[in-house]
Amino acid sequence: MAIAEPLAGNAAAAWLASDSPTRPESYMQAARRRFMHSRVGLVALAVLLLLVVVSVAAPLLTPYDPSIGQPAARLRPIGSPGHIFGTDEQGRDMLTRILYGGRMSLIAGLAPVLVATVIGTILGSLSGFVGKWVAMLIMRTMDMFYAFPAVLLAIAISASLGPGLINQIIALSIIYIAPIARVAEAATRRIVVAEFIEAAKLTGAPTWKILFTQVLANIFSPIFVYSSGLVGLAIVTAASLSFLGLGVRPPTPEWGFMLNALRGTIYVNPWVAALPGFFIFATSISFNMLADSIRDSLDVKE
Amino acid sequence: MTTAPELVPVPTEDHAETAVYRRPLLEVVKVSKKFPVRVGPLKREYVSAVDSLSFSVDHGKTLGIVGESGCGKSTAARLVVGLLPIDEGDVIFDGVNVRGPRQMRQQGPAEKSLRRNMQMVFQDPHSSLNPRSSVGEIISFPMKVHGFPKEEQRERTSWLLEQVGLHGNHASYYPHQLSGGQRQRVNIARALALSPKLVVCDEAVSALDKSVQAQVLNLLKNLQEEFGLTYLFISHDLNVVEYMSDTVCVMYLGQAVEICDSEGLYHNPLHPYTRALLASTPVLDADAPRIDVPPLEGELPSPLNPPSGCRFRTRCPAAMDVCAEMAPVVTMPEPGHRVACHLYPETAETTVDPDFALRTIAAREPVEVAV
Repeated sequence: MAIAEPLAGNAAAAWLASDSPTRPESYMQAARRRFMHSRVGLVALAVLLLLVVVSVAAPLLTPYDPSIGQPAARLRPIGSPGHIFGTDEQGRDMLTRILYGGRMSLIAGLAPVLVATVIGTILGSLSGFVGKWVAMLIMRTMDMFYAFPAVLLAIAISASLGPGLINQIIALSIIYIAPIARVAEAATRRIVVAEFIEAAKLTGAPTWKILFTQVLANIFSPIFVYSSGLVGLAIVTAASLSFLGLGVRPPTPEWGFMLNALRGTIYVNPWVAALPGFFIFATSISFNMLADSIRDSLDVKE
Repeated sequence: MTTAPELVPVPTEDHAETAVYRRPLLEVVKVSKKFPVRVGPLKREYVSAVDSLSFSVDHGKTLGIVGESGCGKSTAARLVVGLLPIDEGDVIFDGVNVRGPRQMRQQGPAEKSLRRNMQMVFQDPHSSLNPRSSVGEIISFPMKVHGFPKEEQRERTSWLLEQVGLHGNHASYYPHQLSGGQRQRVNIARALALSPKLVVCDEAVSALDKSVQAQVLNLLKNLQEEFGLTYLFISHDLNVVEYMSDTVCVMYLGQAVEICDSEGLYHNPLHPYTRALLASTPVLDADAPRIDVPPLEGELPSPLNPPSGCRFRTRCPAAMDVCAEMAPVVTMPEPGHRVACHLYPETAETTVDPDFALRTIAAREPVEVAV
């Protein structure tokens, strides 16, 4: 098919010459097409969607109550009749607790990262774009948060706010703002030297307009990839807070707390004890892989 | 800013006093810019990127600025349009002093109309277009900022695309779907979106293939004719500048060393630096007269501490003792041909009013004769 090339050229020319309203593939269309071709991304998306659906639909899927156990049926192994995933140290059905726990864990993992991403992106991009004393003020403040180990800081904030899911989310949001702001700042500083930013400044557009129309779309993908990696971490940190009595309180199921509570039974019933950990792992890795393939599909290759 | 440019007598020595001339569109007067460089934990030194640069451009004309990379051409462009604040000197646009020291932007409507009248075509066809915006969004952004109605934005965008030799349908393309030449056309269309009077072209064709370069240069010329644009055309390529410019300003290490109409400069270069530059330019015409000058030796000296006296003396084949002692004054050995070099000492015939040294351009047409 030696003539394939010129034909394509002529077709393009013919299209341009006509006033046909056909458009070439838009940026988002191209990204969607590339994403639809990435197997890993689709699998990760399917896993996450499945987790969300079964968590939300938990009451329809299991007959048990997640917080009431049968003392007679404690520590049943995986595959026991009536308890596919076995039971925990109080005789509660593990499948039920995993499903209900997914609600809390997904909220505790997603909400803080979402909040921190919004705030961190605003702070970081502003600091990277304006520079000078604004950057000094913002980034040095962020550095102060780095001075504390993240978990300790979260514990301190949670403790001062009091226990509860909302306070836990606030505490986790605060500790993730600083790293996200750093990523956003670095990405912004890379982009502000581009000539299209100078062109935008030349139009006399106000800073916020340039930030929103020119900068944000260009720093989205590094921030997105970084933030989605934090989701898994946030689930685990949320679990630590719960363990200390600063997050979701027992007997409300939550993966991280379940993992801690089952620690003692690891020699008795290792597979059941590892189950919450497996779900944390699956969620976390799905988020990472989804983020990677979305990044790849958003990437405009020259 | 829609008032007609004022007509003022320009005190140039090369014209009769009775003639009244239209004031140049852009006058750059002794503009300097230094950048701080950290040399130690507490110590700062200053790199003089542009030093006392003066030139002017008439309505509808093109001033070319040539020089090696690192000579301050791009800094000069950014000082003129206001992307960088000026340390010293003034930029006078259409008779109004628009940029002085420490004054990055004017306020309110004055700045807004200035923004409409001064635009820039950038060098890099890759980084000058937002990869996340479609061509239509890129071109209509300036119009959006200046509050054009939606309908007008769309119509004007496709009109602009046709003006630069693209098709209106290209508006829905993304930059990565275009070739380098097409991107540069988009770049030009964006610069024209607000119907500016002055377009600063900073190495606008340097990144393009030779054949595409020629197309884009011709496009720029046609647009100039059609819309009466004034260009400040910056390039390191002497051939390109000769083709485009009415007047050429040669820069070396942040200073203008020679200003002349392009015909005079290319046929009779006076400054040793200009001669060396021209001699090092390949010429395709075998019969073309060759300028017999040895090629330049050595590197551009560090602008951190430029040579004393004449900045070019370290590489100058004609360097004399006096060159190290004092900076040369600008003289005019030939009408309209200014040069800053000790080879052309100041005499009664060659003296130039220091305020207008290296500034006003040679070919100035009287528009009206005063009583």
